[in-house]
Amino acid sequence: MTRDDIVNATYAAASKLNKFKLQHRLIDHEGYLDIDSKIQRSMEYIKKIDQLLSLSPELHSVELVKIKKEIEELNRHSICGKNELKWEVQKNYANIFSLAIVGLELLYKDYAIKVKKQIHPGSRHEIKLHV
Amino acid sequence: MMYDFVFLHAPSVYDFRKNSLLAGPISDVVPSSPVFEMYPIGITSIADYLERYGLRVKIINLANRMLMDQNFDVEKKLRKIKTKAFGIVLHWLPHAHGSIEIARIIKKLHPETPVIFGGLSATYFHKELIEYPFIDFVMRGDSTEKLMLLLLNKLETRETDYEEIPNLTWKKDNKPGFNPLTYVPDNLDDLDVPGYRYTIKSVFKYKNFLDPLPYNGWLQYPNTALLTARGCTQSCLICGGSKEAYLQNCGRKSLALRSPAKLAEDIQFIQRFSRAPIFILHDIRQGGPEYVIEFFSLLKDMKLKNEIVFELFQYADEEFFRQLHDAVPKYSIEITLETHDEKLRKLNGKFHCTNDKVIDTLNFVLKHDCNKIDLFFMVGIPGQTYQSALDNIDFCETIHLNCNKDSRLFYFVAPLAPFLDPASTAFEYPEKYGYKRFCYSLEDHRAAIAQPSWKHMLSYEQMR
Ligand code: B12
Repeated sequence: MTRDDIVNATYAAASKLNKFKLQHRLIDHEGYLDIDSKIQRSMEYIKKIDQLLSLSPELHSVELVKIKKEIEELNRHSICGKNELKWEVQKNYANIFSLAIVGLELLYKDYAIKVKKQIHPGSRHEIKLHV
Repeated sequence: MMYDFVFLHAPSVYDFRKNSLLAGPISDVVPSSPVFEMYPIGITSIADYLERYGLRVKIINLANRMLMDQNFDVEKKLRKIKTKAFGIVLHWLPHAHGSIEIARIIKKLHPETPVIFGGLSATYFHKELIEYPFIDFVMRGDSTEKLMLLLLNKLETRETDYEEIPNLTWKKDNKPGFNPLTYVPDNLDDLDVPGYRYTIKSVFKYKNFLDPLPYNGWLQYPNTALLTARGCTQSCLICGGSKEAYLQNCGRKSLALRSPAKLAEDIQFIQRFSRAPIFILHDIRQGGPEYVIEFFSLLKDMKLKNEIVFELFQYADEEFFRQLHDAVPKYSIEITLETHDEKLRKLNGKFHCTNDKVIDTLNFVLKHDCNKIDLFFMVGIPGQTYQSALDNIDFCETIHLNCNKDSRLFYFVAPLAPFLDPASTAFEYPEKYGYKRFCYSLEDHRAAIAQPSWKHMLSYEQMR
């Protein structure tokens, strides 16, 4: 596969996968349409950018700036749904209280290191490598 | 505040906010955006190690700060920093542009402060990096914690006998020196990999929680990962972290494992602050059967609250999942198949069994109450044709039908992009595996990643 083939094969495979997922109800219709439209638009922009690159460097940078916003939308989750990669989480954090305790504990240990360093400032120079 | 060391993680392209790049799907299957804002976990290990000796170390994820705030002023931020040395991350090659631009800015703002590069890609391209006038050192290898302390000690005492530090690329009076890559430890238990204790502590200690955030969205979805090993036992052709790649790039002859006890300790620690899934990186079976049994029994004895995500490199039998589920109430599985084609899988290396065995593995997982299974396919692997890439989706269907149309199966396809991994067998012997390479030097890759579409970023194509 040439670069063009790799790009085309990626979008064709992604599109086929998207259809398969819809068919087996692994995604809903809205999710399907979202990805489908991103794939179509991405392919158009690939072509458009190819055309721009054939212009002179000054011209193509001006033209590129014009399509910046549209391109940016296509850069996130362009061929697979946003949440498909995520593992389910009911609760993201252990409670704030325990996080604060962890923080304090670590700060306390850090303080102990600081004290040790004052008593024995050279310890960092004493490490040995076991090669 | 004066720091001893400040890590900077650059965006892939600087300044991506001003350029228009159609990066498309190059980061669709990782938690980052195409800015590749996630930093390598290993820099937290280095920070953790240095702080044990009382050094003050800070991680600034510039890429993520820029992503979170369109108006984040990089130069203003960098100008204010006081540190004895800067560390710039060039672990993943897509940072070839951003890392160098950030180094250039740093030297302009802080001409007297040493600039040290590190990471897998920096290791590979160290000779080219040291030529830049704004780069003073490259610390090579996959385990640099202690070496960084040695180097920072030298800088502190202003000694310049840099020859003494293994793995270091340095320069004096504009002449480069390349020390041999001799420090390759085979045990990681005296390190925290990654250093979550450091990361949490730094938020409180330096009163800034934005700088060290690993990626955009982490606060909403605080995933964590634990590394089971450095190096790898597998020989996948396209992987820059294969057994062969580690040997060539990092001088690593064998796997450095973390012990099950250390991993269990880290899981306990993570559970104290996060309920999000913990990803156990690499197939734990790399450690051998006893390692697996020990790990499972430790997990069984602890009160596991988080979901644990495991990775499989090869076929696994039912007994494995029975034991796994017995030890871990809530788990998910990640499998990278790359292709449906048995011959191509065999050539590439991962899951080199038959398709029937792939389906068997999946049915075992499903039977033993797995939460979710992610299956990854790739476009652009050695020997693949356009048709073969599309046929992967037919195989998804075959799997689905043979697995009772189970909705816990998730299918993904992504391109091998933007680059062939340096040091991978495919990168080193492109012709042998049907590739034509467009990029050789770091500079080639730097120019490629700044191209306006991912088609033009691709560092390779196939000859046939
Ligand atoms: C886990 C992993 C991931 C995780 C991320 C984990 C993380 N945050 O670090 C995920 C799945 C998210 C991921 C994503 C990607 N990955 Co990845 N990943 C791996 C994997 C499997 C293990 C990494 C590992 O073992 N690290 C251990 C050691 C070597 O690294 P470390 O501890 O973090 O860092 C040490 C040294 O490198 C060094 N160091 C690193 N940075 C610095 C900086 C300084 C200043 C210094 C002094 C030292 C230093 O010191 C550290 C400790 O001593 C490897 C394969 C492998 N077996 O290595 C691929 C690998 C590293 N990834 C790779 C790639 C290409 C990617 C992606 C670009 C893929 C893509 N297109 O999306 C993305 C980039 C994501 C991003 N930045 O946003 C390639 C890199 C090839 C290359 N040289 O460019 C590898 C080699 C193989 C592969 N293809 O997967 N990856």
